[in-house]
Amino acid sequence: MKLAGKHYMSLGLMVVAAYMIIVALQWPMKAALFPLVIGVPVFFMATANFLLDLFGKKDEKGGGSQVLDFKLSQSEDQGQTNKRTIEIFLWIFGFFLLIQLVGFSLSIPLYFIAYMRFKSKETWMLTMILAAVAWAFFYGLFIWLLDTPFGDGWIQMGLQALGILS
Amino acid sequence: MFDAFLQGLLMLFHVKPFMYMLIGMTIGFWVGILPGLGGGATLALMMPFIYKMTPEEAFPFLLGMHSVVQTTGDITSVLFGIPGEATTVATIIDGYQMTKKGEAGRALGAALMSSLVGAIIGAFFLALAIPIVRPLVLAFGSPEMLMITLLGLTCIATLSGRGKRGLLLGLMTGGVGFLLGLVGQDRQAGILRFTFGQLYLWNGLPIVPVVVGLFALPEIVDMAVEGTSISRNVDPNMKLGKGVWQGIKDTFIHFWLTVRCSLVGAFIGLMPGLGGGVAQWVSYAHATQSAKTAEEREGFGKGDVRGVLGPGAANNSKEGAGLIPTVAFGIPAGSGMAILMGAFFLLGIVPGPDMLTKHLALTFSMVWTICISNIIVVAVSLLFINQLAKLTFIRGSLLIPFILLLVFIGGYTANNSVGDLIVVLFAGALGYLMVRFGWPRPPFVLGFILGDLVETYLYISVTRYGFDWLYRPKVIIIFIIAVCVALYPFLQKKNLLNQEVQI
Repeated sequence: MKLAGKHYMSLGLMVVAAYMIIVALQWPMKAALFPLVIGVPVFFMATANFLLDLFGKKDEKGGGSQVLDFKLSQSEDQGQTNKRTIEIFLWIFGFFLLIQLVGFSLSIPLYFIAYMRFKSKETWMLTMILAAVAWAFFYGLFIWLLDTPFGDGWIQMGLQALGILS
Repeated sequence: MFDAFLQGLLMLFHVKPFMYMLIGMTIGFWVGILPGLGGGATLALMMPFIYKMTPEEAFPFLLGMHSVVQTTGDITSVLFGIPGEATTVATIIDGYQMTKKGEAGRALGAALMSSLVGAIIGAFFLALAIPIVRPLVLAFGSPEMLMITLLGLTCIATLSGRGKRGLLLGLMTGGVGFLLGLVGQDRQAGILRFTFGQLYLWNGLPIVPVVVGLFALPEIVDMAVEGTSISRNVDPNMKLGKGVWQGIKDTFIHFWLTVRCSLVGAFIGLMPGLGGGVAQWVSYAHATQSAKTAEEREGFGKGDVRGVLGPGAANNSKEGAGLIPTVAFGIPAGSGMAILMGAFFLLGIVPGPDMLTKHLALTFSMVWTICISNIIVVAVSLLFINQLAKLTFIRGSLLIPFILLLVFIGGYTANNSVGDLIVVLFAGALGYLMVRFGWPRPPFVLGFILGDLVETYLYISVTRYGFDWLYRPKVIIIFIIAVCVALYPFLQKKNLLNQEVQI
């Protein structure tokens, strides 16, 4: 029997709910009441969902429930879709890493240039204009107007620790 | 009451609230036109901006944005057959056919004017409901409010998906939301729950990064996977202005149809969980019923203006009506309202009786915001109709980094901590998996946002009444209603089977 992504989702939820119930049992009643009232039904619902996905009738195996929520675009080439999905997730994670490394102020123009040039294959002219617009928006709204404190990145902090940067 | 009604209007016409409303409207205007980004996701993205605002400034900003999204969403539906919003899909059926027949201007005129009529009717529906709802809310204690909240969750769970599986998935994801809301220091006993030794988690998971990640990241991923411009195969030089006036006149020629469809939208908007997705289709069905002959009915789907007027009016009127359960009972009528309710808590306001007593003028200012923002946006849209069309040719690849920038900054401003960014990523991945495997997100958000409140109601009920609170008549009545709501999918399936047998 081969398990698919939806089965792992339900299994994961079963594990999480079971863990929360076990941990909650060690707390005083005041703190444990709500986690138990919610955790136990969630565990059983996740189990039911897992079993229905695995052994339910064909129309009940996920397809039977038409969820009224945003739906991902359907594509005939699933391989290409998966590749693009992984790619964009890496770009999103890359932005997070860049923020960690150099802070918001520097990461914004750097990310825009990288994304526009290497992912979107835009011209240098458009890339530079949009990077400048994005940085001006960030600086004007969040630093100048809203006075939001943004911390330095690891690189700046490292350089400061070494006395290279003041 | 009338004083508060006028005070609400005056409150809106102060310089700052009015400016914020204009800014919100401008954002909502663009979001509605551009199909890549949904109204709910944008509402979530705008949440970090309200930290430094007063409630009198924040609600015009958020509602000004949210209430015009459906109006301009109809423009994209009519012009390109691409829904600007999930709630403007039904407008495509006849609106896009009219565009293909060279009647784009007429369809747009009809869509915009019916949207305006719908928005005004929805807003006044809210205003008229306040005196009726107020005594009801004031008679409720903690046990009743707890049951009302659970009823709301059941409604959303039932209606977030069809059939038995829909109910199971809805209730399950609502429960997951409650579980995630448990993270942090417990208010009653001071126990640290699921904080894993992280100081960041002591105050619980912040609403903004969770909601931003959950709603915005899946849409960014989908936009990147699609990899195309918004409007494909459409001539950028197409002139659209012709016939607009006729479309406006159509709204008044079929005025009672527009009013009826607005009322349909308002009633559906009133019920938690149904939302604009349902309102537009029911009103479209009602519009087709207005055809007197079989030939006339056959015209629907081929470019009948009444097919534009019905959904156009309904998806706007449900916004005002949707505020009634949100404001009065703290039960959001849909995902947009659930996110908006997050704003209530961020601003230190608890939806419920206070909104109908202490903050009544603020509640009425919401009515005025919906009306005034729609009047301004419809006027602007009609003036710049040809220029608007060109906006939909922006490539998705140019939008993605800008939206991503807003996502990360939006998430970060919750606590100005790197933890916020990690929460954004975590919620985004969870949101993507939920969308991919068909787990509905609205019940999850509702559970997450209401978790604290439900736990407090439960704690007060148990502490004060023991288990006797379960026998209170109002609690029993609300519980029976919740059971009926939960049984609805089963009855629905039985009816369908009976119909199939008859055929």
